[in-house]
Amino acid sequence: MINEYLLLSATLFTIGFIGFLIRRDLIVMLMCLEIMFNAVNISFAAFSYYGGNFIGQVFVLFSIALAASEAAVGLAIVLALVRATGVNHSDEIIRLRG
Amino acid sequence: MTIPQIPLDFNSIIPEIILTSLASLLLLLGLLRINRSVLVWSAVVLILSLIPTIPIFEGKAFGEFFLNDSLAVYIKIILLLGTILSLLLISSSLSKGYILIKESIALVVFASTGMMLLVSCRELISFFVSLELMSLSLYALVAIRKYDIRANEAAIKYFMLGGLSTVITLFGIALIYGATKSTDFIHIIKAVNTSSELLIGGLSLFIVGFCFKIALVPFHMWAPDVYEGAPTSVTAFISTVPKVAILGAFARILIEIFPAYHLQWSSFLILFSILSMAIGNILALSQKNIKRMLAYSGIAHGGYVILGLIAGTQAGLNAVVTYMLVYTFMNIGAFAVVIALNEESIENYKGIHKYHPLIAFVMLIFMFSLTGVPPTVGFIVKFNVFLQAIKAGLVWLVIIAVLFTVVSAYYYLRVVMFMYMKEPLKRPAASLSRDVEIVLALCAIGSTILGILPLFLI
Repeated sequence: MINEYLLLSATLFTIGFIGFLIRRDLIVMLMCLEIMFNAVNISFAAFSYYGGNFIGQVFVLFSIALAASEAAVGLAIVLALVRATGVNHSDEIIRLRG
Repeated sequence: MTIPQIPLDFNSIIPEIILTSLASLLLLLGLLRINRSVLVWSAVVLILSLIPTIPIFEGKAFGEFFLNDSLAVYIKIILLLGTILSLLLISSSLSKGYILIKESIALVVFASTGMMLLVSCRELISFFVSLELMSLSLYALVAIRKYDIRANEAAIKYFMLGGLSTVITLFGIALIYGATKSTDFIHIIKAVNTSSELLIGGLSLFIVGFCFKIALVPFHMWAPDVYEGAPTSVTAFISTVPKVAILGAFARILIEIFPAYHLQWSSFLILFSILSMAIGNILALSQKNIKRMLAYSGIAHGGYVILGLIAGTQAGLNAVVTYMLVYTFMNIGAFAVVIALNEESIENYKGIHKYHPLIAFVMLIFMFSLTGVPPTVGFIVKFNVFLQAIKAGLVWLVIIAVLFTVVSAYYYLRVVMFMYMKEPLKRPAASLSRDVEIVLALCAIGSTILGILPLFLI
């Protein structure tokens, strides 16, 4: 059974990763980060359930809290960028090059 | 399933508790109408008085989950020194009237609390939480100038790639947990000997996350942009102090927990080290902005310092930590010169010594030290790291490293050549505040005295 859960987790992680690489909208990139966080949470829960101890479930709680705070910081930065430049696509952020 | 009894012994975690309270207090005091430099100086004095007390708190806390041994104490002292130097630099840019708000002081202290916890924790949950405490404070610190377009752009790049590396590290931790059924290091060490593919997969993801955080080459794309866009005083902080903590923490984990997989992880790191030295040094040659040049030089230094880690011995680990002590002085010093002259283009460093002979001389010390020329301390630590790699039988790798050091002399000494041998283009408008003067003096002393009397280091 654990293999199915891990497969789900790996699939979700890959979807998030590919989305992160190919999508250009900053908000969608943030959402892809969240998908990857939750994919990892699934594998923690699966390992915890089939491994016979609860440390993984404790880790999931911490990881959810940290994903939330990361989203808060990320949204704040995106908001500041949009207010300063009016741009929210990653391929238009090209001031720093060289 | 039994719940282990954990003795509550808080003694060795007291410095972290003090720093956390200091950061929260600074956040509160920031609301009052208190002079900014008073805030900074009170924080600096408190942290400075904390430094000599840290060895007293050697020991364990929470059972085995928090270990403050002599190496951790050494790394923490480096971290606090770097934090003090960066706080002084940030205070100087506060007084220059840039839009850097008071919260930046609290963010620096929060970040260094996270780094100190990162160095001592012996458990993967607290490891991840302290990694995030450090990273989130740093993202916010880069974006602290709200209306500066370049800083915002740097922050978004730092955040996106930093977030990706965090998730990758977390996935690595999940696989390690799956393979060993535990997150505390003592159980992991016991379980490591029963080899599994899951563990190797987890370890490689863990290493990828680590390489992202210290900007080794296939994962370095964010570093030059972030270093250029962030306010210079913040760049001095994020380019130095977090690297010390991350190298210290990850190197300890790799060397002390996974010695059984040394062959696997060191072959990854050898590849990344060669790539970092090559690409960091070669791209630094063509840079026109000194902050970008220092970013690529930082990538190259990451490549050198990894050699001590690849050696995989306790002596190699010590060499890595000493290298980071010296790197803190050299790098913060170089950025302090950039702040003092308020000049980012390398062209404008021409003829500086005519107007500011002392600044030019101090910059000369830092550039020689970063290159690794003998009387300076940069030589001694680089020699030490290379020596450990040779002892581990990696002579060919050290030859490559020495060749790239020669390449690096070109771009470091070009700055020196511009300062001393060219006619000035214009009179540079340097404004030396007292705080920057203190930082310059401390870094210059650190980069020369330790070079003449290297007994402290080895």
